[in-house]
Order: sequence, then structure tokens, then C-alpha cells
Amino acid sequence: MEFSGDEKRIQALFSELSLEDQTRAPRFSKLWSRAEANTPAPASLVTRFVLVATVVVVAMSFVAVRSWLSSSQSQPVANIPAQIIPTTAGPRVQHSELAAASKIVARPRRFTRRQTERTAITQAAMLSNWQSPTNILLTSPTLSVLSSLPQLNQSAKDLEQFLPKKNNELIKESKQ
Amino acid sequence: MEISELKAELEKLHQASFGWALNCCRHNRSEAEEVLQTVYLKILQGKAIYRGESKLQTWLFAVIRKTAATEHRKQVLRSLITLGSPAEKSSSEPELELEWSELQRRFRQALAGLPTRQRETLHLVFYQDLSVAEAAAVMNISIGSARRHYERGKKRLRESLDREGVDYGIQWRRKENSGVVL
Repeated sequence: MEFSGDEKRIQALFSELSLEDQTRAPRFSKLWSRAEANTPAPASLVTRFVLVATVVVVAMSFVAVRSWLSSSQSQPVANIPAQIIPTTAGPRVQHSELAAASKIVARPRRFTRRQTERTAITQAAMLSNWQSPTNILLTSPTLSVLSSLPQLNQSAKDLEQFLPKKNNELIKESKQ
Repeated sequence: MEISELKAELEKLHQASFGWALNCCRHNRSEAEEVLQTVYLKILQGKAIYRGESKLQTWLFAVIRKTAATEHRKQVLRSLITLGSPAEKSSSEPELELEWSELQRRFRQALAGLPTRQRETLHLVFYQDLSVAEAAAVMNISIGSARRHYERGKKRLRESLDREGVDYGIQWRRKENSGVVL
């Protein structure tokens, strides 16, 4: 399809515009050389290797530090000190210890996660070992006899061994 | 295509590329230069790769159009941040305008008044001697849309020139133009 009528006239005006633009166009070599000057040099193989190695080392150290941190956090759970069973004076001490522990928790200091866990473990250990102050009333010298049952096929003599030592000695003396 | 081979082809298309860049940059010469340089830089850096799927000119013009749009967006953003000079620069330099004939000045004004798509289609068809299908490929639109922009643009330009009283039937010095529109 060829231009006709108005189209030819419009094309003539565009041609005039084109001629005007062409006289003012910058040289190709000028723009091309400027673009070339702005092109960054490609990274050499050594640079690339160093870059990759650095990334690998950083990643490995990050993984190592993370695993060390997680293992150090789990250690206190395994190293719970053996708790001494308290005597009659125990409950008072325990109460004071509990109060001290709760004070630590109540302090408005910034606790780390590890410290909080340790406190919780200590408190749990103390609570599990707590004994009632009236617990002593439940114990008696014949507790061992009461807590163990004689076998049905044993003779009466053998049953003596279940008696308390003092009684056994008295019987022996009376026999003598 | 080798870079040396591509460079030779780009050099052949340089004048036309600059004309297209000017159109995309609303006839701002310095902006058009910057856009064209950025396009060459993209080609050198391998950001714009010609794969031979279309004509080199079509591909190059599409890259220029996209780059000009990106640069314009950046400029608008920069002006918004600085709150300084207005985003839209004057369409051309005042000293150049003095050199233009009255007819050319009115024609440029009439062109500037057209919607972007219509102006682009007319430029590609009349200025660059591309077919409507090729213009559609450059503008990344369907042929039907390009044809519609072409017809509407032509009509609007004719009306605008008539209103201005431009006797555009005068035989201006013109370059040779095959004038084939498919």
C-alpha cells in the first residue's frame, strides 16, 4: 500500500522533521565509546574463586557457631546437681531458697534465655525434693519390719531375724 | 551475532535510532542522547540480547522505547524527591525553536498534542518507514491496535493542522521514502 493524498503530505512533514533531527544527531562513535567506558570489566577467575571461598567460609562458620550455641544451651539440663534431702530444718531453708529464686525471676533485669532455663530447672528440682515437716512422724523403729513381709515357707526361727536387733539380743541373754 | 558485527549494524541504524529516541523523549535532545547511550551500554553488558526473532531495527526500537520509559520514570521520581524542577522538561530547546520554520513549529506542536501511542505509530510509519505490523511489534501491541492508533492519529493530526491553517500540501524538500505500508 502506498501513501496517497493526505498521507503523502504528512510524510513530507515527517521527512522535514527527520532531516532536521539528522543534522543534530550525535556521532555513533561518541555514544558507543562512552558506553564502553561505562562498562565494568568482567571479574577474573581468581576474583570469582576468592568470592566463592569467602561465602563458603562465612556460611560454615555461621553453622558452626549456631550448633555450638545450641549444644551449650542443652548442657545445664544434663548437669543438674544432686539435691540433698533436707532434714527437719530443711523446709525453712528450702522456703528461703525458693524465695531467693523467685526474687531472681522477679528482678526487672534482662535475663537471657539460658539463665531463665537454669532458674526453672533449679526450682523444679527443689520442688520435687520437698518433704513435709510432719513426715518424721510417719517413721518408727519398726518401719523395716512393717515394710518387709516374711515368706510363708520360713520357720519361726528364721522369722526372728525380722525382729529388731535389740530384742534379739535380749532373747539371747535371757536364754543364757 | 558477534559484538563487532552488531556494532556495524547499530552504526547503520544510528540516525534512525536517534530520531526514535527523540520521539520517545518528547524531542529532548540531551535526554535522547542519554537514552541511546544507555541502550548501547545494555547491549555491551549483555542486558539486551538480540536473538534474531525479529528484525534488528524492530528489536532495537523496542529496547529504546523501554529504556526511554524507564528513564522518564526515574526522572519523575527524582523530581518528586527533590521537589525541585518540574518533571516534564520543555519538549525542545528554545534556541532550536528559533531556527525552525513556522510550518515546522506548528507541525511539532500538532504532533506533541497527540496521545503517545498515536504519535509513536505515526512516527514509526511515516518517519521510520516501518509497516503497521512492525510498528505493532516495536510498541508491543497487536496489529489491530496499531492500525487503530495509526488511523486515529492520522485523522487527529490532519484536523489539528487544518485548525492551525497549515498548508501542508507545499512540496517540502523531502528524503527518499519507499512509503510502503503493509
